[in-house]
Formats: sequence, C-alpha cells, structure tokens
Amino acid sequence: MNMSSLQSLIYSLLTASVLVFVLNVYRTLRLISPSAKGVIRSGSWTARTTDGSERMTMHQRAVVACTGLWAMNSNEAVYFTALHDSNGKRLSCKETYHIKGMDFPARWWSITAYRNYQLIPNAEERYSFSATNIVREADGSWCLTLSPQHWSGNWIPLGNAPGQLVISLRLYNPAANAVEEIANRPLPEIVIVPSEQTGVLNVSTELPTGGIR
Amino acid sequence: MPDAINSMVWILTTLAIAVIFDRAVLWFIPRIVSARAIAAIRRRAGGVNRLVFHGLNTPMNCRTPLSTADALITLCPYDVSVTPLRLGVTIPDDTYWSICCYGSNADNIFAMNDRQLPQRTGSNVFFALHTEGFPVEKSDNEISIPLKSACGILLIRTGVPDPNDQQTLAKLESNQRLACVASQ
Repeated sequence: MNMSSLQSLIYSLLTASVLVFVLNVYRTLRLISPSAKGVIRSGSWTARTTDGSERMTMHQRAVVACTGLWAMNSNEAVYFTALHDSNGKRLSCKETYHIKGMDFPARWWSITAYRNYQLIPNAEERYSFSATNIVREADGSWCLTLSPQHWSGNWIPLGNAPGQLVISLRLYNPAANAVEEIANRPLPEIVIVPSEQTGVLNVSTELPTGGIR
Repeated sequence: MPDAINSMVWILTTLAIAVIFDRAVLWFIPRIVSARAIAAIRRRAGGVNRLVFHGLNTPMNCRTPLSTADALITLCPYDVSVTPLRLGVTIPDDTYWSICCYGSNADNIFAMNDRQLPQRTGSNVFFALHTEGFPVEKSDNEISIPLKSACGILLIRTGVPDPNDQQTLAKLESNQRLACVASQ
C-alpha cells in the first residue's frame, strides 16, 4: 500500500466515523421525539412501549442497555422518564419539585428519583415512593416532593450534590387500555417550587409529619 | 475521468465502512454492557446457574442506570446450552412478583408475573429453563421456559410495598431466599 492509498483509507475511516456518530445522534433524537413509533408522551413524561422487548431496533437496544439495562417488556412494566419539568426546564437536583397525582392505570406503580441516572444517596435511605407507601389525601390523591431540603410527608431527598435529576415512573402490569387512559387523563405535572418557598424549609430538619409545607 | 472513478470508489468505500462500523457498534454495545454486568454477578454467585440474592437496590450496591429501588431482586446468570436449569421459588402473597429472562443481547425474552402462574400465591412453583427445541422431561407442576438464548440472566423481582416496614421486608426477603436451582 502506497502513501496515497493509506492516506485515502485514513480519510475514509475518519469520514465513516463522523457519519456513524451523526447518524446515531439523529437516531437518538428520533427515539425520544413524540412522533417516534412506540413513544407515549404525556406532559414531561415519555415512555417507549418497545423498551426491553425483542421488537427493539438495534439502536434502541444499545440505548436501553446503556440507560436502563434489563428493562421488562411493556406487558410487564412501562417505564416513564422525565428529564424536564412542566415548563420544559431541565430538572435539577438543586431544585424542589412537587408532583401531584392519583393512581395510575396499572396494578402497582412507583416513582423513583435519580441523579445522572443513578440512585441518590441520602441519610433517609429513601429513593422512591410506590402505590402502597405513598401518603394520600382523603380523596386518594397524593403529593410527592423531591427536594434537597427536608420536607414532611412524601419526600424523596435529592442529596446535596448538583446534577441532572431524572424521575422514573414505573407502571407494573399496566392496564390493557393504559395508553388510552393516559391520553384521556394525563400524567401528573412536575412543578418547580420557587426558591423563596423552599428557603424557609432549611430552617428546621425536624418537621412534623403529615401534610406538605 | 479516472479522478471521478476514484472519487466514486472512495465514497462507496467510506459508506461501506460506515455501514459495517455502525452495525458492529450497535450489535456489540448491548452485548458488552450485558456481558460485563453478568460477569460481575457470576463472580458474586461463584459461577453460572447459581442464585444471588441481591435484595433492594441502593446507591451503594448498584451502579446500573435507572435501577429499581422498590423491588427485591434475585439474579441467576444462566447457561442452559448443555442441560436445562431447574428453579424452585416461593411466590409471596399480595405483592407484585415476576420472573424475567434476558438473552445475551439484553432483550427480555421471557416474563411471567404471579398473576399469570397456574398455582396460587404462597405456594412453591417450579420452572425448567432450556433452549428452544431441547427435549426436557418436565414434571407435572413444572413450568417450561424455552429460551432463544442459551446464556443470559434470570431476574426475580418482588415488589416491596413499603421499604420501611421491616417486618414485611424481612418476610419477603426470607421468602425470596427460599429459591433454589439445580442444573440437570
């Protein structure tokens, strides 16, 4: 192989690498876009019904392996993920958020908070709330708070380190008509709590239980 | 003219390399990620076809992205290429329970929950994992799990109604620890 051929091959490899990179960035953006096949979108929440199943594309399989290895197929569980609040702002572990909702169309459900896709270490050792341990109002509704500061009631601590907050809603054994139900009754909003309200909560770490301040 | 042909050859070569590279990367990523995770579990288990009771995921014991924090987990790296794997489990009452098998490419190739089982909850249930088409002698109450992938991982998940309820948690844990396997 002469110098010119070698140079040509190196250019080929570099160009091919750039092409593959650009193609996979495009595929990833397509994968999370609302118009993508198998995507359910409700407010801030997005789920893909093909995750974990054998119907995944090669690219989707690679993404799922890196971001949620060994996911169950959608008959067994549907995984909704939120990366933005209801105003479209990126979720942050330094902020406080409220999620108010009712039961979901599934046998059992849970909401878990992650920092950069990992469970968040905290003194309370609390990482999630589920249908069975969330404290409800008389009408069955509930309010979940995710905050680095101490809150009473249904509170998931976000720790002290900054990072991208990722919230996962798992619907175990979703109802057969779950997609239609979610379309009719959207999933709960993720509302940021203004910092002037959360600042008050820093005063005490021994808050009375029952009700959210 | 030779320049035009050379350019065309270069473009086609580049595209061919891109396609091969793309397919190879996408094929390998899930297998490598899954193989690394299975190898770590196999080390904990002391080999394949052995159970590892993992319990609840915490930030200290789990670095898998988006891992569940509300289910007790038992894992078993399986290899049924030579013989079937027999598994006995006790199904808990009043909580979500499931058994899932994942192939070497991380696909969920089998899933069954407590409500799909022929037996009542609270009873012992037996499974026979084997490759598709493998002639397996099945006992009466055994549930056959034909697998497309001879190697992979089995996950048993038991939903924990309240992680702070130590009594229920201990009961579910002891229940899940009753699981046993035999390779024959």
